Amino acid sequence: MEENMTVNKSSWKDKFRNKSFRDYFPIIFLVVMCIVFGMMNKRFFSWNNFTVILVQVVTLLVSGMGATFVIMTGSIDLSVGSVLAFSAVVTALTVPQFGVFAFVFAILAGALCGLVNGIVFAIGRVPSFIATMGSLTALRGVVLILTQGVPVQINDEKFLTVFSGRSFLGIPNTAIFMVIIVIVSYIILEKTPFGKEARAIGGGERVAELAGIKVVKTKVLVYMWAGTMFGIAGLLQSARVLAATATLGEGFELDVIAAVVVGGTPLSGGVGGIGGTILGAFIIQILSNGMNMMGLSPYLQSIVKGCVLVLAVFISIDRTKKAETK
Amino acid sequence: MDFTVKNVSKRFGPTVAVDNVSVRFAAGEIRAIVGENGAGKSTLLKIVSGIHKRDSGEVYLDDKPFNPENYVQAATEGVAYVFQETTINPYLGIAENIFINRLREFRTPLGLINRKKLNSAAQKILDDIGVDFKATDPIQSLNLGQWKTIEVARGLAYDPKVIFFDESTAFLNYNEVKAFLNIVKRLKERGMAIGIVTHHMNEIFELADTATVMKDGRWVADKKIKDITQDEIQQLMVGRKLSAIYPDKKEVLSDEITMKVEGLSCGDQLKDVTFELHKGEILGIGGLKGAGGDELLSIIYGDEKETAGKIWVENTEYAHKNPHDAMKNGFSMLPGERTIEGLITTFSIKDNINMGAMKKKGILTDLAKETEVANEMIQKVTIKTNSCEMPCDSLSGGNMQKVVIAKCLATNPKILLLNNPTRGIDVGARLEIYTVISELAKEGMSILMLSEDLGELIGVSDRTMILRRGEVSKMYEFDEKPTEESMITYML
Repeated sequence: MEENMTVNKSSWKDKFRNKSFRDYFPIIFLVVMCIVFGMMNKRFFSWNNFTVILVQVVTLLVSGMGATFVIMTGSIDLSVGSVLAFSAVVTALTVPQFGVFAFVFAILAGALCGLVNGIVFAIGRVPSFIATMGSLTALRGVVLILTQGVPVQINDEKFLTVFSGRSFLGIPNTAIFMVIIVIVSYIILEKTPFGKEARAIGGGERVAELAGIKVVKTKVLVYMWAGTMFGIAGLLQSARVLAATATLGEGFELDVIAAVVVGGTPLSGGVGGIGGTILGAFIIQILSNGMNMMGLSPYLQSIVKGCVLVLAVFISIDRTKKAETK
Repeated sequence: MDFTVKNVSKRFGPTVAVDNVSVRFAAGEIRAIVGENGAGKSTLLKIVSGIHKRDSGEVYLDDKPFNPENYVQAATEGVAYVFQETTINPYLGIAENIFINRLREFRTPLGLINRKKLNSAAQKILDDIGVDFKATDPIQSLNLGQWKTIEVARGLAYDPKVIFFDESTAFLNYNEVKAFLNIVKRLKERGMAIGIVTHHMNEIFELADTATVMKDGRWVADKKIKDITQDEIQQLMVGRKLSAIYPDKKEVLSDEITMKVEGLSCGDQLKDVTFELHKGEILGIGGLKGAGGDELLSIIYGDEKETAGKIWVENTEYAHKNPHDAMKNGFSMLPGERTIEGLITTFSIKDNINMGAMKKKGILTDLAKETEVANEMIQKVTIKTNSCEMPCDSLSGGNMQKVVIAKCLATNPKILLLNNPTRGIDVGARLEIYTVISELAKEGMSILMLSEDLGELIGVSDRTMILRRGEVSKMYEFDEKPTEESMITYML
């Protein structure tokens, strides 16, 4: 009995020791990065720049809320950018008739894409990488057909006031929506059986199944949730740029996955969460923002981004794990 | 030629797998290594053929010290080992499988594989064994027995002096076994020293010249096969008194039937299994690996599909579609693989316990209730931990298993399915688990306990059902007292 207790204590300490750097890396990185950018350019720490960053991070963070759930279950969704573009086009096409209520169609469009992804993956058992790579490609085609390659403008005053206006203190409305979505996502992932089931599937699908969790149903719901988030992201993005373009969100899936992974949710699933993705999204966005302010060339920016992604995963990866389970 | 093993020992963590064992293999002789599951037979052979490192002891091949770094070196130097598990790659050819780790030897100057040379080398080995297929045949057209022969050929390709077979016949059918035994006999005539591990008594008596009996990692006896009977070997294998680690049994068995299983079949694995489970009963299921016990539990829990048969729970037919459905119908299962199927080791004790039965408050999880349930369970099954928030990988194997039991109990089951509840667990934790199981039964829970541990079946079960090749070979009733010897007879 006593021996057992000491075993527990020491491994608890080990856990804490492991935790100290690995788990705090994203926040440390974010703070250090802000300080460096702040020293290089005085404007970086201005209220104005802060709101710019807030507006810019919305699409990434809202999409990240969906992707976190998917990655938490140990799968992947590559269709982010195309779903985003699809829902943006649906928004732009329905605004003239429905005005503000076009948001319903945007959300439905996203959820529908997610449902299809989920069914193909969970019921059809097509690996999620392939299933969503298929919809990534196919949906882009749909978007091209709908737009004929020409941007669809959004002119509805009311719609634009609601979805890209500013409220008190000049806080952008999109940021307010974003905060609400983040809170709701957090509650769903951490406080509901659905969220815990999604996490359990990522931690050990076989264990979850034998524990009586409806794995297939949960997976489909996770993809629907993700699609919904991408749909909302598309809506807010189209409102911000006043149009839906055919190329909207191309390559965006990599930014979203990077945000989730840099935030500490590994592609194998099970651990991590919303808090990490918030940090990850801000890291990616502030990195761009800061480098832009420094006037770094896009080519160099690309190199830095790639290195940061690999570095973050390199540092946060749990190398002791394999040795433990073996 | 002879191969001598002297005072070899091997530990895996806290368990001593092989404890100071000495044995000698002589040319032209087949020696059977026999013992119960976990007696250390396979480990012993794996140590002497370079797969495991020994902790102490010496091994000599023809009086020269034999200390191979790995399996390939052991084989090259004259000691080959044929694995229990199938190691055939069905997407490669027969010759490629035989020379799988030596394909470099068949390279042309350009670095490509000289297929002709490879095939003829393989054919020569196959001809020496005397098989009914060619090295160029498609591998998919062969049966499991022939696949085993390919693995034998792989061992023989090193031209060894000693060869070991670890449960080579475990997955073969009658004819395949016969063909395989003939091959082993021919190898003996070629003057090789041969060691076999098998659970099948008839094979030992047909094949072996001598037998070494092992028990709990220790050497028990060396016997000449012609001087000993099957019963005597089995007694040597078991040779242990039941200790007091088992709780007192109940006086009477309730007449109330909780579950009725009728004619359950699943291909070759399970054939027409029929039984009843009483209220508050612990029904033990015994049998060798692959006898159908795992399938039986999986089917009842809805994780596998039967080909025929029906299950009734309290007189209503029960569909057992999937584990979720089973749980809703009052079943709970403790799976056989603790860390793969039983719990998520990186998650906390609390999250594991509540995984099957998340408590809800409206649409949200009732976190307070979950903590309460977890703490209650920690008390009930005596999990040794400081807090229910601790991750499971901080626990010992025995305590992890208790978490799995707690997870099962958190769903309030009527029927508990246990797959080897004490596998790989030390005696102290075993005792506690037996106490919990027996308490649950007294509270009226019906329990189906599959176990490879005969002592456990005898000590804990109210009745015991023995399976042999998917069929019920014996049902020990409540007033019957099974012995390990008689159980083994029904298993083989």
